[in-house]
Amino acid sequence: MAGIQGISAQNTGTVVDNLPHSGGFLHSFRQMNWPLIMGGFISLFILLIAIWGPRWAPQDPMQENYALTIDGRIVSPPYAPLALPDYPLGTDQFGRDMLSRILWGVRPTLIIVGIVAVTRLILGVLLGFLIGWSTGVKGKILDTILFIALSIPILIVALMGITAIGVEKGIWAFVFGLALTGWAETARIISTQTRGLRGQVFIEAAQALGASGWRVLYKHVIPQISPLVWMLLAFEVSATIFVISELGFLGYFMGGGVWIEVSDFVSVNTTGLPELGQMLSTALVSLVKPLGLIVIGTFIFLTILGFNLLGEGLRIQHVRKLRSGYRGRQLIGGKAGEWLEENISQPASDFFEAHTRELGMAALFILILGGWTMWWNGRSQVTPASEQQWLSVPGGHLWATMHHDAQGTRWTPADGPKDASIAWIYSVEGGLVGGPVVSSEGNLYLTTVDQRLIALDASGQDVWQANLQEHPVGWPALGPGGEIYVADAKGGLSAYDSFGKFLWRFTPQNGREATSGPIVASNGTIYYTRLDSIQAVSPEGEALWLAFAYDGYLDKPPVLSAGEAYIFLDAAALAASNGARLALRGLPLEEMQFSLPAFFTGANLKSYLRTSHEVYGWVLTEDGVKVDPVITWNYENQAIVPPYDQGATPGDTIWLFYSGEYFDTRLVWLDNTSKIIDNLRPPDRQSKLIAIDRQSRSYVCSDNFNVGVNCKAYEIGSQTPLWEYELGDGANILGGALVPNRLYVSTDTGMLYAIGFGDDIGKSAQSQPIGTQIMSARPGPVETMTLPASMPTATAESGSDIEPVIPTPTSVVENTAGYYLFMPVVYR
Amino acid sequence: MLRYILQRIIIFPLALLIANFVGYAYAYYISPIQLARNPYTFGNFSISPVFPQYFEYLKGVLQFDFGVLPQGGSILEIIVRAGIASLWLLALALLASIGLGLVLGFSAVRIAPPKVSSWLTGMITIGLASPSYYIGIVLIALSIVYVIWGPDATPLFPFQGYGIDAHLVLPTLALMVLPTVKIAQITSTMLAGEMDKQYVVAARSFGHTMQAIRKRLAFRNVLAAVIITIVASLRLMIAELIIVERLFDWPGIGRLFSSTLVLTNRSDIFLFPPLLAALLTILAAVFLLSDFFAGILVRYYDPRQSG
Repeated sequence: MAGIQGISAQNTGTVVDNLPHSGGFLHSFRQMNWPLIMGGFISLFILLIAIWGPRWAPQDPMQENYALTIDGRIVSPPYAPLALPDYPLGTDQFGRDMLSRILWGVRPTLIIVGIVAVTRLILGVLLGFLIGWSTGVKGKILDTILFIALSIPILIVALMGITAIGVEKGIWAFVFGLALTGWAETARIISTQTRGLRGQVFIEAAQALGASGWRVLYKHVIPQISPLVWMLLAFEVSATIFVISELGFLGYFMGGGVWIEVSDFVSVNTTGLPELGQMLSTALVSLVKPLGLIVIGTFIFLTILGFNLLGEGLRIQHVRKLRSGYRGRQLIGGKAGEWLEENISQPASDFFEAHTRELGMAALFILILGGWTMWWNGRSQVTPASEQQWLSVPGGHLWATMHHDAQGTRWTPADGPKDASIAWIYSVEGGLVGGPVVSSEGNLYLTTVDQRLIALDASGQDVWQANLQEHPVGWPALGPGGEIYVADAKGGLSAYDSFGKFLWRFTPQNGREATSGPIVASNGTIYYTRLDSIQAVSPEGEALWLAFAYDGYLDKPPVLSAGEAYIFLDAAALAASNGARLALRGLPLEEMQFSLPAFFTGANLKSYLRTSHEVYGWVLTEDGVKVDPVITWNYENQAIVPPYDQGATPGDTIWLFYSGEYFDTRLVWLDNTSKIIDNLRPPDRQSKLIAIDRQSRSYVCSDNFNVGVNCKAYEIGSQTPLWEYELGDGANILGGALVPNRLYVSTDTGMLYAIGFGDDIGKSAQSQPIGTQIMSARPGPVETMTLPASMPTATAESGSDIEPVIPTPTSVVENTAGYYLFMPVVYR
Repeated sequence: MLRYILQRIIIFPLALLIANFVGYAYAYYISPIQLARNPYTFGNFSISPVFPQYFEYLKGVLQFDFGVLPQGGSILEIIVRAGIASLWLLALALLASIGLGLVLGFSAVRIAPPKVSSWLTGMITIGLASPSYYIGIVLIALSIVYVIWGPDATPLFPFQGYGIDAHLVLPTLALMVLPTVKIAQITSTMLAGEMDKQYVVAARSFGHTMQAIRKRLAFRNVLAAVIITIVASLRLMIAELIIVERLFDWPGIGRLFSSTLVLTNRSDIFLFPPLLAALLTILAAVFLLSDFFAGILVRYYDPRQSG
């Protein structure tokens, strides 16, 4: 099974091969190195498929065909090979073209196999030299280790290794699992050869001349053994494919696949792009339909056979050379063969032999570089902010509404605080209803339980206060001109200017209460939720429309699409201009009623629909809805609770946020091919994702009574928080706002925390450190400003001395829908 | 020989204890990590030191109490039942592969000049490239073809389920291909090498036939290597049991291993420490015993190894 197969003759020192001698054509034909020719041909063919296979694929490997009409007869998959003209190798159970999937699947498989095989070879050669060269007690100990490694079946070791690391970790789990004892067979061969050489006269002579052990090894032993390396590599490749295919058969393949709910509590394991192990795993649906397994199994069999033959051919070539200094038999007869021999194969062979060490070092370097690149790419797939496009906030506000912008992205083109230093804490007696929102100048606006709208500057000083006519609901929102809008419990909406001056109040005709704070479009239209409906109000305070969204108490603000043509509220999608319901045929809405579907807009300007744990990018065209391939992750069969929140960054990275009272928090980052970039699992419950910054750091606050109230910042790829700040017990997190180098967090007990010194916010924000927060520690001595409930309403300075640092667009493109795409942003 | 036996008797308990502990500790530590990877399992999965729990378990083991499975049932009883099922399969496959491997190996040796016949080389090349799941699925496909095109609508041999009858045929065939070609390969190449040696020429000069020399003299010289290969084949077959028993739905040790180690099976006994400890101990015991008997046989047949 595992290990190196097919070289027993060489292992035992027996040469079962005849020297070439003169004879007729038949004899020459028989004496050709056929394993080398056939193995080389098959291996080259496999390598060509790995390089150009995807281009040759006749079909989309992901295209599913659940039913086809052939001669008026409807047939369902799997389709047998040659049954359909366009599917020569048939299809899998989803109707996906098997030939195309194989042509696509070879490349990722060979990349894994190559890395694993080279790793095992390097380990095996190094340890083989060490074992073969060591004597005495050290030699015996190393021999015992080798014996143990050889004794344990590699399939069992690989299963344990991969399970320990986690199959979802991808290639490194496989490298670890397969290399754990996979080096042993190579080490055995190398150690046997090294031992054989150790007693040779020329070695003794070198030692007698005073050469050190390392020098003898390097100068005299390695050159003798290095011709074996290519043969060993070929056998390592075949042995690795062998085990990887067995692991695939058992369901262990790169990435681990994804469990897709096909109906209630029924899931199937599938994946994104094909890989041979994964294809084997998913092909085993029913034993009475084994054709899929046979097709893939045959391809794997041919691949193993090819590399086995190649290794065997190289061994025969090596043995012939050893026996007579024979310079190789022609692979092709006649003059062409002679020319090939003289000009290509022999010079190439000489070059490889003369530069084995250098080539080995180069291969090692490429392996390390390739591995590092893969690790780096796997670690962070987030496109740098400088290469992205993102939504702007009308008016350039730093945090315009509850979820940053009218699209509810939570993403901000700023860096958050680097540590948990607390700048100041502000306290409001009676408690807060919503906020803060942060204007372009860095001023903060909050609504209180006792019906006030409060304005603070970035240093936490009061700027002004305004009394509200009705009890506020949700968070205030900022308009393009700095207006502040507050929804109220009577279903109305009040507008104030940035100095706290009352502008108008929209009074609705019916008495439905507002159930969320407002959002403001770039044209100034304000939208907010009233029980089960969305209310649109003009910038002048006039009703535009009120439209039913869907049954339920909808306590979250609606979100606009990137172009502001549509407005979404969970599963409802309406036209932003008149509230008409959109007909989005082609989206899996009806069949996903129980998966709490939700539309959302990404900071990458795209519209998405999430159903259960799956995300579909979509766009409404003249021909109907065009849906992108599903993006999802291996959420396990037990996953019955859909994400609490979701979004996308400007780099097309999707995030799904899970949290609740009875289960832990999880933030899953996925790229647009469903590859898991990160799977963050803070040990908290009842968390809220406050914001995601420019570096894709996430800011998560939790008010679980078991753990206490805390906020943490996480970087992608790390389960350890960048910093952590405990807010104190007994409060519930209302939400927060992220501005350059500062995170604001508000609680229902009336506390507003400013974490980070916010140096970039402006002069007034440059507070002196008044207490440095150590990670996981309680707040240090901080200055707490308490606003008495009876404080008179005042109109204060607008904060004109503030120099906000906001994204400066280098170019602005206005599209016909009237929204702005801000191109690469430069920070001051 | 006595020294070898004494050495092994001393090593046995220690090696079994290590295997047992590795199995227990592995499952003990990895199980909560696996749970923590699942987004919908509750609680903080703190890991306490393994030793107090392990010592408790070990006390039970010393009284032949290997624990109880989460869904009920004694681990010892389940392992014995699965072990018997696998033993049939292993014994049959091992005997068949030894017999067939030796016959093939002997038949393929050519004398003048000494070499291995190309038909066996081809057979070995194909056999070594055939994973057991592939052989199994090809056998199943052939059975289906037989059902469709054959005289009656029943397969020649059942390809699912357990029974000490015709049920054994297909799993045994799937299990024995790799060991057979390995034994044939070693036998043929070693014998061909022996036939080139001087003592063979001497024996020929005394009038012995090549057939007799091969059987009486040369084979005795290669027997040590063949025995070692047979033991290695046994180890190989035990690992392949995981694949073959899964494919043919055979309720043996391999399937138990698969349920304990393979996450995708979503079994209740996945990474259950007492069960994995017991399975690894059995595995270690089989490996040690087979190696022990191989060592004795090698020393008996090849006096050069005794020293």
